[in-house]
Amino acid sequence: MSVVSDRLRAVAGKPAAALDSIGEQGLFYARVFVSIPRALRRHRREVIRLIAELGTGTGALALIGGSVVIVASITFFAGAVAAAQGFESSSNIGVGSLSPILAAFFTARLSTPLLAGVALAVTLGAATTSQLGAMRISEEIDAIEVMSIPSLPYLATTRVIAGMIVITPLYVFATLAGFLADYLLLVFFYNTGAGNFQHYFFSYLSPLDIFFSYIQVLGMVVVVMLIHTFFGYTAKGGPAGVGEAVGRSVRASLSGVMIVNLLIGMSIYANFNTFHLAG
Amino acid sequence: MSTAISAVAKPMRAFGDVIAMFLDSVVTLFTKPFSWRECVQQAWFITRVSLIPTLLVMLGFTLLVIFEVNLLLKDLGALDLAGGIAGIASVQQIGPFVTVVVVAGAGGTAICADLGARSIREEIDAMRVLGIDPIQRLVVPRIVACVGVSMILNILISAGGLVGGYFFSVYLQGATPGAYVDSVSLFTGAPELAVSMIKAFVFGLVAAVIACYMGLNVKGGSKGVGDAVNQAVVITVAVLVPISLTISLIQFAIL
Repeated sequence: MSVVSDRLRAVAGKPAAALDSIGEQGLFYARVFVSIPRALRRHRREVIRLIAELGTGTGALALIGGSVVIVASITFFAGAVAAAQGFESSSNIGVGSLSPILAAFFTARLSTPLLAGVALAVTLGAATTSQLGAMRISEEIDAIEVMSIPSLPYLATTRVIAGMIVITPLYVFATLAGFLADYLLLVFFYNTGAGNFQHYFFSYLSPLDIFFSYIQVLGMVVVVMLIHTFFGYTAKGGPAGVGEAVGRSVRASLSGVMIVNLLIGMSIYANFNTFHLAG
Repeated sequence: MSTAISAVAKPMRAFGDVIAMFLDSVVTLFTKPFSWRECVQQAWFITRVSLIPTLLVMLGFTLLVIFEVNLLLKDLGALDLAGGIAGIASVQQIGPFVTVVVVAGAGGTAICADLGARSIREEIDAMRVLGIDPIQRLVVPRIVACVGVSMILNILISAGGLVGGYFFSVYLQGATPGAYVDSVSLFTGAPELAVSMIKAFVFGLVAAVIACYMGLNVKGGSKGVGDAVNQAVVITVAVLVPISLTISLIQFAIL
């Protein structure tokens, strides 16, 4: 009897629990945004320290050059895939030498922002969750509160701000890596000719596209940092709980990043289509 | 000088360990009894954690690509090819790519967190003391489950991308339904689907091996598990993107 009623309660409680967690997350995000001025005023040095830390990464990841190198290498290979698929598909219909147009289009608009979003979630985001989670379970966050420093602006808001700042240089490298991959693959591997590449690539590379993709990435980094600080800040259940929290936060932020990307991309490109084949 | 050598040697040693563990599991898979129960449970576990992220990532990824490519096709006056592009996008490139992201980000993190938690509770050492081989009991079933699930997810993502692309192209951007369906098979046939499945197979394998390795080799107390999960997902994504390029280039050279 009691087993059945327990199960019933668990099933009936599920929607309410989901609603509860949505509310909890919403409240957390609202508090992060509200405390942005406070974090900028009181914790400016912490923000600067976090910018350096997020850019270079910690532990084993710093050995291979940190987040910048990882994100850039992922967008490099993504750009190469876009260039290769573009060349093969367009030479199917006999216009392989026009493939720099496709490369410019796909790399600037799609492969770089999409893969940069994924890379941000797994590098900056997961590291943040693991760090904050470790602080939570070793009761460092409680210690901060005891010293009467509000922990949320000091830990979460500063990380969101630092993420928004560090994304600018990071994304510059990511974009350049994507374009470099296009150039190397199309010119040296597929022999489309350096002059041909330059002409078509730069004729059809719209500066606005790069700016829009930067806006997409900026939106994604805010989502990534909010989700990951939330899961890290609320981690519980010992060392195992931190691992669990990192896993759950990566799942949540991957989904969030892609939906944000789709919404921003659609709202931008449906209204400003910058690509015009005939000028 | 010696620090420089050890800085290079350390990742190489880890790389060698991962390969050794992979070879061990291949040998174990064919020589020792296979734990079916664990494999089915793991497959269900991985499916459960990755199904919702799969659907959401697929929606965002595939639909954005198809949407923007259709804008390009509209400008070229070739919107009839929308189906062909959707085929290339969702079956050949994005299907396996999203599988990478989801299998590494959802399945891999869950496996790594689970094994990492067991390592720091010294359950793995206890198993060894009892004479149970963790490779046979834990790693092999997880690798098989992860490969199986990632191939199923790849089918789901490819099919979902084509269907989602249909609704996007036909109802939002004005492609002709018949032309869409007709042009899917223009660029994408059975060999391309086979390559896509091979990619999914390789990705599932790599993600599972890296996640198991990082989970079983957790060090450093309370921060250890979180760091291990973080590194596992970063390494997996960073390794799988070049592998995807390599498989694509081989495919283009052969087909």
